[in-house]
Amino acid sequence: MSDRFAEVIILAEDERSGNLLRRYVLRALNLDNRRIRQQIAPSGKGDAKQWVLGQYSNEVSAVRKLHRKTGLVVHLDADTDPVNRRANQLAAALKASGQDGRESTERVSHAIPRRETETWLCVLTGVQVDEETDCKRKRSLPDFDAAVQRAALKLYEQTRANAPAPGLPSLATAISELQRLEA
Amino acid sequence: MLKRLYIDNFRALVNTDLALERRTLLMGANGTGKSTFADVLLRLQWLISGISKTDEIFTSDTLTRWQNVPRQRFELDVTGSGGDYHYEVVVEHRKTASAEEPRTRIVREVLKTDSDPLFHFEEGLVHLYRDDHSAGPEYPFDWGRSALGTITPRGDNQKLTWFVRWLRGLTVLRPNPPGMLDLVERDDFLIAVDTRNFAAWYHMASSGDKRHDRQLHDDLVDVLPGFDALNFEAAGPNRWLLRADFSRSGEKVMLRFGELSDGQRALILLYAVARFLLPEGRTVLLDEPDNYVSLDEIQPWLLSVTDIVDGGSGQLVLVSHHPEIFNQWAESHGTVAERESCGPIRTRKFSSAPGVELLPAEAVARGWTGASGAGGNGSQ
Repeated sequence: MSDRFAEVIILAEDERSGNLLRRYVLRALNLDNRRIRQQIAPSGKGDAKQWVLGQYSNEVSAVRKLHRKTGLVVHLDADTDPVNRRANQLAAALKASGQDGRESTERVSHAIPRRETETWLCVLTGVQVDEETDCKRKRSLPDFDAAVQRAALKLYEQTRANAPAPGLPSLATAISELQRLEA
Repeated sequence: MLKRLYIDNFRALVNTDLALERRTLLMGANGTGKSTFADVLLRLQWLISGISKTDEIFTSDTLTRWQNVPRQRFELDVTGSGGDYHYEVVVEHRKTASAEEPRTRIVREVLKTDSDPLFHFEEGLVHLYRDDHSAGPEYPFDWGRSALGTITPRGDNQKLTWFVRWLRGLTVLRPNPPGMLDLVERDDFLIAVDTRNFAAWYHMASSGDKRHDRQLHDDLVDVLPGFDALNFEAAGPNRWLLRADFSRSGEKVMLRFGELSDGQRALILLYAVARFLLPEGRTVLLDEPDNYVSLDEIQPWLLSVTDIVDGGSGQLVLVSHHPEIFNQWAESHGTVAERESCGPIRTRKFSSAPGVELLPAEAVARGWTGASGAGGNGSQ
């Protein structure tokens, strides 16, 4: 075994979302895949969210105890709920596990697209959609996986200082969340 | 990209379809035929490459045991070069033979694109068609081998030529690091299934596009502590030895490739596949690539090939039992091969049992996956 350790952990509801966030982290933090640990939730109706919420408190606890500098990126689709609802669920998961809430200085980022990650993929690759449309079901892009790399680079550009704010409110929120990793 | 493989009457594969994506993870218990799919692809490649005659490739012991059916059928659906290609070949095993009609023979071989013919062989007669599907020459051909692989590339048969080149470039590997040789006596275009000629292939590949070699070098610097470079040293006329050079405390340590650990050789092979073969647009099937590789190296390699393939380069089919690979790819790209007590093999998309928050590897280990209830286990 090598002596390297994971500098960023990504928890995602699905592989595509994990890949988008990982590609962003690779670029923003100038890391390689060997410094990132990507964990994908098992699927099934509602199960993925529950799994991410459960893992979230475990990971926050592990990072706080073992590797405080390790970054943690958590993805949850908001679906048709407000983004705040998922953020509150994450906060509640920490509280339920007996942990303190997230501090502003902690490298713990929430990435919560309203509807789904595919909404962000559309907007980040130049396809204009709103947060009410189910882009995944409508197949607004011919190949979502193929769009991940380009979308991640655009996401990186949008997290730079002075970049214009994106039109999607959930993406704007995520950009400020992701900037925590670079603090 | 190979979209579908259909096999009938080959070992335990009876009327079996395998749908493939740009990335596919083929899962299933031992004895569920995962490697048989790879075996068929290899044999079709040999057939079309003219390496052997039909009776050497499709021997009678490849017929399904519990059937008494003399014909085997294989189909490939492939997307590429601006169209959808359909290839099918029917092989007949007969009890008697003659000079004109061998015991094992091809009774039908067809290649179409977008439903229009490019090549048709039946009853000993070849019909060629041009790229615009207008009829070309007809001529008799040996039933004992594939006529398709013998067609000379011309300006008006570029579609047919593309398909033949795609199938010849298809790469099936069962990495076997202990058997990988470090001596090169000739350049090889393809890596052998058991990867023994890796050095001979790398000698050829590294003399081509230097960008791929630089990327491989950068990967290996990260993966192998102290790694400097892969080099070849002369070992006689037209003979070379593959060597891995390392630095340790400022001193150079030069090791023959064969002196590396099995895991190190496996990692070099895997990153070479990622950096050379996939960017060439090849379809690559890796059978248990995770053998010999330490736990902390599997996900980084898997994420690298995910990015390469999703970026539009090549197609990757993994046959694996490894939990790390299950947990990354099973939900999105997993296909399960299943078999009931020595019966025919069937395939289905992987799905977690609803309402259960278990990672795919754990669900498979418990036999708690998918609709059949048997999941990746239960074939015996």
